[in-house]
Amino acid sequence: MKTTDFQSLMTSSADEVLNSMFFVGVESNGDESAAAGEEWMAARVSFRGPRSGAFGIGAPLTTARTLAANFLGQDEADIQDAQMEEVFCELSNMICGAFLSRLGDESVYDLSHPARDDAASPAGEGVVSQWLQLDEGQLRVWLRMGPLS
Amino acid sequence: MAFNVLIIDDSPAMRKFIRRVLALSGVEIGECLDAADGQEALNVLRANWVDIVLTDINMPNMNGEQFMEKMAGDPLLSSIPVLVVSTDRSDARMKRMLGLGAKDYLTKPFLPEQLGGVLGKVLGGRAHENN
Repeated sequence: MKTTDFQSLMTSSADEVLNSMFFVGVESNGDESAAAGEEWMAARVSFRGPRSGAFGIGAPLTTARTLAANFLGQDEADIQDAQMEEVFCELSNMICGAFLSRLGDESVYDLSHPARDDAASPAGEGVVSQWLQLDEGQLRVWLRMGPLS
Repeated sequence: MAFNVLIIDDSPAMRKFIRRVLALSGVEIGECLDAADGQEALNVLRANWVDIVLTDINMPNMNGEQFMEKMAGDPLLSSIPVLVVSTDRSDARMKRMLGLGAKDYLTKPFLPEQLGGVLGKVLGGRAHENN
């Protein structure tokens, strides 16, 4: 599978989750520069199965707060930092699950519990990432996948 | 008739989301209880009347599969219908959970109306009789 195939699956997975449970659409591929200089929230989940790896998301805090408000049905002003983190972790978990189901091998994957990722978004060899432009804000999704075992 | 529901999920955010969707589902909900894992859920079930259980699979301490095995082995709990709500869409996992006695399996993400539909199906038409 090519990098662009993974990116396409990551985009469609995020779109499905965001549309159905966060009431937000993915408009197009985003632009990294639009989120430059903003405070950041990130979460990741690792998975084991026929392939093992890690999946993560990141977004400016303003976007993360909007997503949490939509998911919980609360005003943005009432969203606590802990709630924002919980929602963001759950979002990473659901997008990862949707992505793995799109790999088409019908295999069972074991997912770790999603956790806030304090490290900078990973880059480098083996990392596939995609910036998504949402109705409100930007979301980065990334994947590091090992070979088939 | 109002139904008492137990939501089992280690994510407080997901429990709140499901609770909100249940309130909008058209199903008359009585008490809405929750638990963060299977062990906590068993304690809730032994202390409260519950009409239906909604459970995640991937949870710490006692996961959804272990929880269902415990329920199946307890004659006081084995007749309570269980609906699995999970990110795992693999056929193998679905078959395993249905084999353990789950009445239905809903994958995350789901549309709010899907949850109401599955609840109505699992509760056998009793869910919307007052609407």
